[in-house]
Amino acid sequence: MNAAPPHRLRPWLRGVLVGPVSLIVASLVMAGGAVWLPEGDAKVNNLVLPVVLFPLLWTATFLYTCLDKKLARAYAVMGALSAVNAALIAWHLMT
Amino acid sequence: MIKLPQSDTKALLAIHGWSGVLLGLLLYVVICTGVAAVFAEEINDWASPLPHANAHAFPAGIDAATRRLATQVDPQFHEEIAMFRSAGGRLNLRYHLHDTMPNGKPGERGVEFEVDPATWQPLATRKGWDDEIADQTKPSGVAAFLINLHVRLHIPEPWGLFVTGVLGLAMMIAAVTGILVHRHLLADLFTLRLGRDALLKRRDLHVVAGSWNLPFALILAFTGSFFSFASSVGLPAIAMVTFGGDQAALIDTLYSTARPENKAPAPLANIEAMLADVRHRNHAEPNYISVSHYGRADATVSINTVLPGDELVYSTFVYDGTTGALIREQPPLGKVPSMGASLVGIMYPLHFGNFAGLASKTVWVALGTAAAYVSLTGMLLWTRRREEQLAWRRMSRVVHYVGYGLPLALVCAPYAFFALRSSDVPAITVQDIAFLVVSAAAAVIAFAIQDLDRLRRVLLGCTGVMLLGLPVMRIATGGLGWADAWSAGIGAVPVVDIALLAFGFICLWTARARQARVPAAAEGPAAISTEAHSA
Repeated sequence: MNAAPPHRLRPWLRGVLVGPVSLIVASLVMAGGAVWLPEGDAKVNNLVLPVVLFPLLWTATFLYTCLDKKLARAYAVMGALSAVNAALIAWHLMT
Repeated sequence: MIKLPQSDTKALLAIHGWSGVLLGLLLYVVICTGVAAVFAEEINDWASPLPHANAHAFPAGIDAATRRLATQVDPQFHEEIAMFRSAGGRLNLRYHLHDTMPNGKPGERGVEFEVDPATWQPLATRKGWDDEIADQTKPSGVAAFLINLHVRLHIPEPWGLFVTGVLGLAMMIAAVTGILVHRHLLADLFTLRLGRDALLKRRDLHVVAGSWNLPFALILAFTGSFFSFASSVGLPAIAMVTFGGDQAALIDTLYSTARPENKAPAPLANIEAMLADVRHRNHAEPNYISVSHYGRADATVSINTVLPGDELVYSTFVYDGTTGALIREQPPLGKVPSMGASLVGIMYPLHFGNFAGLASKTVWVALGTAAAYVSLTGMLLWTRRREEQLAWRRMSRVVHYVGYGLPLALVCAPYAFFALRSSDVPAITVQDIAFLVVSAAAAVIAFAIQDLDRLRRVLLGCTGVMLLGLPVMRIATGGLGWADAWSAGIGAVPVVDIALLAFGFICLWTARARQARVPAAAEGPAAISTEAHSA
């Protein structure tokens, strides 16, 4: 059985991945960075570095989702990044 | 030479082209206005000079003036006093408090005095929220219009910043993919065939300008995206995670200079002594003063300077407001140096190009102009290649309209500023209206003139004429003449006038020449020599 999406759906799935999904994942990694990045002596690195790096994060997720030929793998990588960072944020907010 | 599989190169080339074409027109607007905004200070000094030059932002007398004006405002506005130089060497002193705006967001409310530091007489008094004070501020109107268009394209908050952030991202993607798809990066830096072949000449000019501009494009795109996203996306998201959504608490953590609260009355130490101390320590002229809790025992005075010659990251000198003793030299963020603070600090000089005064700003303007040229010629080449299709022919017309109509509309906006300077309508609003009216007129011209080269020449010619007329308009509406400006030592007035006249003549000269017509079929691949092109 072929698990790949129908041919006419693929451009749409790719478009959703490259557009909104890459933005949401970059935003989640940035927000998650406030939890997992070290504070540093000034106690601002975890607040500032994710914001500084956000344009690079988005560029990376955008280009990766454009170039990975295996759509399912790209969705899986984006899903994993989102899940890890969302879990870290949830854990931080609950503790 | 970067070796990539042919399929990846093709995909990258498609991303490069489409990221440029889809967002290129808006990006072109952001780049053009950004180039002009580099000289915001000089533009304001040109548009609204005082009759005399003021060498220092904070000359002797600032201490007495601060105390005198403090007696004229409601004591609740003593919570913070911000002092900074504005157009023509004016000095603005804003007495304000931090409050919640009617829309529920944090804001600042108070009274702003605009004074002439040569006489210490108030030139204007403005009251209200920050936005209302900005609307009443006339002297810096020309640069404010350009900066507003550059930063948020006049789109309401927070969407304007988000849109310009996405445009910065598009520029970064175009630059990164531009590097990756280059087949002969070094050769492309030096290949310029200026013979009789118009196609080769146009392509080579685009590729050479684009190749040399790549590092600068990356810097501008990255720093620009950071500035746009930091307040529209970044800070709200980080505040949500770390401070339960309280952005004021996050900002306080990053920027606060406050000391333990002590509401007991206490006189402020002499500001001029603190200014002298900063000049001695930093070897640079102060350009911003903030006094927190004026008249209280927990008062602090924070002073920033222009960047010293050997520094790229600014510092804030924080003083005890009651004794005048230096508490600490503080980095841009936090109270002690950190990697995050250094990275944020370096964003400012890299984006604004102000790290070496006029020289670096001139280089930034030249590189920015090249970036605008690359953006426009890239879109023209891309659409020309595909002009056998009706949709791309229409797109080519739109590119001509925006590419040559935008400078015309930008040049016409200050006419409205000068003509309506004494009216009650905000300076930005009158320029917005003039900008839109001229844009609409240019759209009619673009629709009426079928031949695209003629359209280019007409719009360029109009821009040239309006550039030549701008100094005349400035003087005719009561502006300072060259002789008076020169004798008063105000160099910005004649220098900007001469620059406008020079650019006006260049536009007219360029509009004279008819561009050689290149058949679409002969144009071939547009931008860069790549594996995909050669395949």
